[in-house]
Amino acid sequence: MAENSFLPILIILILAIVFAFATVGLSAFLGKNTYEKGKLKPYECGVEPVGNPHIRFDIKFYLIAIFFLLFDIEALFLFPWAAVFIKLGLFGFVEMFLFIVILLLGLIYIWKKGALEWD
Amino acid sequence: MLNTLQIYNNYLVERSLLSVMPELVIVIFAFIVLFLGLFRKLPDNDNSYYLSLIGIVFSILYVLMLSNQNINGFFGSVVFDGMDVFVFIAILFAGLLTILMSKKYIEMFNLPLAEYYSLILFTVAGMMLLVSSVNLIMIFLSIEFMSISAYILTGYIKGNTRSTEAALKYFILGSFASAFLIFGSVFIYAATGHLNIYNIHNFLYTGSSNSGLSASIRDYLSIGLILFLIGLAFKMSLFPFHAWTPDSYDGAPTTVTNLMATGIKVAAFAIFIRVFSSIFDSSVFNFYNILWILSVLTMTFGNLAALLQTNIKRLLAYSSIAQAGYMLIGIIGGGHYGYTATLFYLLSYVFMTAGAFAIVIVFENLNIASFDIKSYSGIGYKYPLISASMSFFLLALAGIPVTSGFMGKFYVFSAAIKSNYDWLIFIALLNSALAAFYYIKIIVRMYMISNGDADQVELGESSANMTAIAANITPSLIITIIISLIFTLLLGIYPQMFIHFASQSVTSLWKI
Repeated sequence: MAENSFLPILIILILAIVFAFATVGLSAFLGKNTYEKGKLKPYECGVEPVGNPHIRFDIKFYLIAIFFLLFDIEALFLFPWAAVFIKLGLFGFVEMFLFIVILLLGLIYIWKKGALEWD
Repeated sequence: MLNTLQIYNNYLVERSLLSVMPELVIVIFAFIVLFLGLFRKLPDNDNSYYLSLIGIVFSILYVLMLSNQNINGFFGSVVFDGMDVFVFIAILFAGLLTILMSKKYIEMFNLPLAEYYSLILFTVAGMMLLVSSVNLIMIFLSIEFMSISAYILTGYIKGNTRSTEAALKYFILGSFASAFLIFGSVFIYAATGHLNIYNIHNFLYTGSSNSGLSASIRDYLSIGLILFLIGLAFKMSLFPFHAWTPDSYDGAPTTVTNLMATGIKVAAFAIFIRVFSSIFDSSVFNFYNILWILSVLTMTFGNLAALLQTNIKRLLAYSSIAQAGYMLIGIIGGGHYGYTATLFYLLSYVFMTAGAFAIVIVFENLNIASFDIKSYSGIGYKYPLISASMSFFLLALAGIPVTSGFMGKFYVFSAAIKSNYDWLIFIALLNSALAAFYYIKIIVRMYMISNGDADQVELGESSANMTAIAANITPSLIITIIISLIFTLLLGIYPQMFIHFASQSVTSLWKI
């Protein structure tokens, strides 16, 4: 039955919701409630925090993160393609070749723009 | 199970490539422009501008060459048919006029040129792909392609808070709209089991007769179609989903505003017509009632809000919201005549809006006061020709006879009259009268002699402004205005040719 085949998913959904509420709820219910200023610190029993966590950092890190994301996704697409490579044949090869070429153009662009230089 | 290659052989690779040829030309030129910008030794100023113009012209030639074809490609997810021919011409003219008016304007801000022109080309390619896609996934991808380029262009003036704010608002609301669109697609897919809109059409109308659709399928389909409509309504800036329009039109560079107001609106309406005519099954849900309400709210709100504006770009933004309401009337009128009327209106709208924005650019300088309608007073005597053209475009937007705006409104309204939407036309006519007030208000301003207000800033008064305006009037901007004038007049005096063309395009919608 088509409708019943989704039943396990529904059960797991309900279980997940119940579990999430149960763990938080039980610890609040059973545990001891203490309120003090120290509890608001990021590390309650660790090192004393020094300075403001909201510091400004170099925009270059952001750029590197974006580039990493782009080329990481490229690699991600290569895995399923490699798994069915034989089946797709020449057509798949050409398609993937075009995909890589377009990304390569992107790499050349950011390279020539000087975005890969740290200074 | 069929091998991918076997399926692919049925749709030859050449057919696939031919079906996206006009888009492909634009994309290739966009890459060329982008990469030419990397060579520092080349002078930075004019190459990208001329190359983008050549790209657009090549694409127009390709569209005309392929105009008799009916090709589908990429596993039937992209088509090139008569509908595309008409809308591509409108979109490519929107792109052409945008590039023409950009030349001097974008140099004013001291920004990189190559990226700007290539992004304009990418946006145009996205719009064209959107119009020609017949697959729900493809529609989503093209909308994203078009919108992401437009988000970047909106925030293109680096360091300008208004531009950045506009881009952020446009981005957040646009992504929100995309979520609606894709969620609607999911529901449609769940109900019908197809992504291709022609397959969905066959499933709805032939596979099982209408009464055969089970209740749960009807529920899923109606939810899916309404969500899909909301997603597209954001792009068409219909009333409850219009909130991004004034802010992002106002903050964006004026050329980009022009591209958003003309190209994106045309593309969104065209794809809406394509989808609406094939899969919006009115036996599942009465979509005509929803569109009726949306249209009335959109026109009324747009016109009422435009009355209060003092900034010319915001006024044109609200006016474009109101115009979207009129365009919707043609779709509500429905049928061959109604869609033809809407396409005609879209084409005439491209030229009148582009002309109006080109003239806003003439009087624009880095000072925000140059957008104030008050500062337009008296320019009618200092720049008689430009003011006369501005008056002409505004009268066209108001829908005064002899202009294309009148013919567009006439066809759209008569389409609705044919389908007995009398009250809708009554409200629309009241709205047109209301709209005429704020369009004519600007004309009165331009030809009004200063009444001696001390705080009145007048563009034509100070010599600094005079030199700025004189520098703004470049040959390319004048060409933009002349092209817009010619087409606004031509569409108004001799509409038969274009109506015939539009009517032929619409015929292809039923060749499913």
